[in-house]
Amino acid sequence: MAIIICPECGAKNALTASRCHQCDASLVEVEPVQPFNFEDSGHLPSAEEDLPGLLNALKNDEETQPPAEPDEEKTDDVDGVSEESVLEEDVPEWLLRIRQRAQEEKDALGPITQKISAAEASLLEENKEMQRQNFESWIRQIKKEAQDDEIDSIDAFVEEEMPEWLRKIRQSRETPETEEQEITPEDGEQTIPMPDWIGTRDVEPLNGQPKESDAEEESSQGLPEETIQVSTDSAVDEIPEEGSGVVSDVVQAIGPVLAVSPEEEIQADHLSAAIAAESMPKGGQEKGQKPRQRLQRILFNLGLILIMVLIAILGGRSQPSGDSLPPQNEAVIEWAQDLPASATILVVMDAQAGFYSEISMIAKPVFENVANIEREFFVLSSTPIGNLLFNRMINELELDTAISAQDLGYFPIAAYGAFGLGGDVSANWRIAHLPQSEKALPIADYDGIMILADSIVGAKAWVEQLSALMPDNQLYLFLTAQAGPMLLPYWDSGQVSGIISGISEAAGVEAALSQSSLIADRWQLYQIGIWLMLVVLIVSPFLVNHNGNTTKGKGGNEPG
Amino acid sequence: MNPGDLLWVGVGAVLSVMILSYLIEDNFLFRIASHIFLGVSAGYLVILLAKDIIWPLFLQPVVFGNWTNRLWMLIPFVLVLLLVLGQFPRFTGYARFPLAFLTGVGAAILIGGTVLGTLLPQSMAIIDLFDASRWQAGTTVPGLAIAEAVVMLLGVVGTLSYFHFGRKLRVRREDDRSERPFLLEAWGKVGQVFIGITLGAIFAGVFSSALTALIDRILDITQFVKMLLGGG
Repeated sequence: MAIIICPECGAKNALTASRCHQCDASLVEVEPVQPFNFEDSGHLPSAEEDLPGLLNALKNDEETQPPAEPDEEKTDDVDGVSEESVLEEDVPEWLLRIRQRAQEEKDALGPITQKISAAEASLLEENKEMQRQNFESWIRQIKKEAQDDEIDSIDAFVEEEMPEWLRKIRQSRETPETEEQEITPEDGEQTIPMPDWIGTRDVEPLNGQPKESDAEEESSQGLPEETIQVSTDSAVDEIPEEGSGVVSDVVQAIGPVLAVSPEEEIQADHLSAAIAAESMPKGGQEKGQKPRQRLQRILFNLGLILIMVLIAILGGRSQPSGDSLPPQNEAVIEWAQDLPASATILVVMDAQAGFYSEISMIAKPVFENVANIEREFFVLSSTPIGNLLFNRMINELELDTAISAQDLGYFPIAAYGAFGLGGDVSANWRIAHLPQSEKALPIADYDGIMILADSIVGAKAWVEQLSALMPDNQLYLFLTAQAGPMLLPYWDSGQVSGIISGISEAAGVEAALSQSSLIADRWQLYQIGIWLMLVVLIVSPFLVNHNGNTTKGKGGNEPG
Repeated sequence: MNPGDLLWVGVGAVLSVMILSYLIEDNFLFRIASHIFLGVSAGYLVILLAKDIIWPLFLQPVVFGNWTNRLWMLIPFVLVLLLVLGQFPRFTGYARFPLAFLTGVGAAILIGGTVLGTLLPQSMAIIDLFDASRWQAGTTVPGLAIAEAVVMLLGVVGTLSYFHFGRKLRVRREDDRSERPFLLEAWGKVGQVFIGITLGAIFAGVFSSALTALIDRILDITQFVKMLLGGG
């Protein structure tokens, strides 16, 4: 029996009804349709008798196939509150499959299906405005329900799941989060303040369409610089203004959380760290300093330099006595004085040019005793400039005769060079029948290995490898003051035969050997410099407090 | 001093003043001097690597060696090729092989050196401090030697405890989950003292080295000014 489907509420009405029994809408011009009942498909007219078979086939397909995962397109529709997807949610699964099959096989459509399709098409075309209103009411209903609990949960979720980098960026800008989430609907576009790095990426708006960045339009609207624009076309643009709250909440929830991949998050971390490093003051060199504070600092620095220059010009000479030297220093002196006339010495240069003055002052008194024409020197560098520094130091000694020094080359990684030397790698190369390179490491027992180093790491690598692989060779360390303290245990353990560290120890060695006055010329200046450092260390905290610098240190443990 | 030496001393003095101008503020002169040093260092390094490594250890065997030499050189050649290929975005993954090789070899060498050159000898040195025969034979008073050994032991145990990040096995309260065992916590406090003293010594050493470099520069500049004024 034919029925009339109400175009307003979809309720079934009798063929004779003039108004809907549910919503009281007029049914005068509505065409009646034949009711379709899946359960009673056996009572269908003969023309539709093939329908059960079709449904059974569909059912079998459904059973044999695994449940299809929601594809991306469908997900986007749902996320974008698509109109079609909203209508399809109300359609049963079996009807969807019939429609899908009917699209592929046009002859599978029976009169009833054709009429239903026609009715739905009619509803879609003629009553689109009504459906839109239904959609809006649905959105409002969602909004009401969501405002109480869902929005709170989304906010909590965003707050909890907010990445650390985003929190740092927001904190660094000291902008309240609520202000950042301002949305200004204008001409169908909403602006959401976002970090800079997000502004450079393509942002997916709600309808799933990528939004083109339009900086000119953004600036012309006088929007903040740190904003991006999100298009709200399609279904969303039909939402009235009061519905924009829902959109803003959803955008707030899904915006930064869903759009950032782990790789992008790592890049953002690096970028935010770089931004923080750039924005941090560099050792008191910040541009925004107060002029008075800046002037104070300049005068203070210039005053210190001036004091040292005056002492350098006017100061005399003083030198500590070499009577009571540490045992590690005495061991070096003894070795230098008792060295055989035709000794073979390996010199390892692990010093940078910036520390040449200190290294040369430490090593020169010993080299004056060691260097002569009968002794053979091998020079191996683990810094690029090492060989040049050795040659300069020997030239500055102004020896009567040139010494024999063979350059063994440069090893970029100290541990590799030390292992190659101690592990007898050259022998392995011979097994490979390689031509003997002039840079090959010599296999020899040295009368002493002198390591000149300015860093803990480099010197430690040499000591570790050589003391383990060449235990019969004597190691002597000539270290800058910054490398000395951490290498002293190797003297205590007997791995190193002697150490001279820093200008203070070198001054004693120079006095004991009585060869030159290189350190004596600088000793008074060095002492004054140490005193000045102590004064600066004591005074500077008061200067900082006096200038009102209230910046608290970020290190340390916070109570609680 | 001949004009050539005077020129280079002058260049050194001017560059030193440009670097020292950073004491006032980050400025144009400081940046120029920094860029000069970086550029010269990079250029020198390239030449040095070509002269000391690429030519004698790689190209020389290929050019002057026999076929066996050349076959051996195939290994580094392939590794170099992969490293170069890795510079192109499409072939980035190829660079992993030579880098993995370098990392593996480096780790093996470092671990061997650390264990054989530091861990075992230093442990033995600590043990030897408690050798009673050395207390009598040494030049220091036995009481001082014993005290030194005890302090050394305290420092070693305390420092190792400080870097122990374990947790309590038996958790009675919720706070216990984030706390270390009491014994480790106490030893860790002792270790903090030794670590603080060590870091203080390193800081003093760093300052001393920097001061020595500064003195050298000041003396050079003073010498240059004296020469200009005719006093040198």
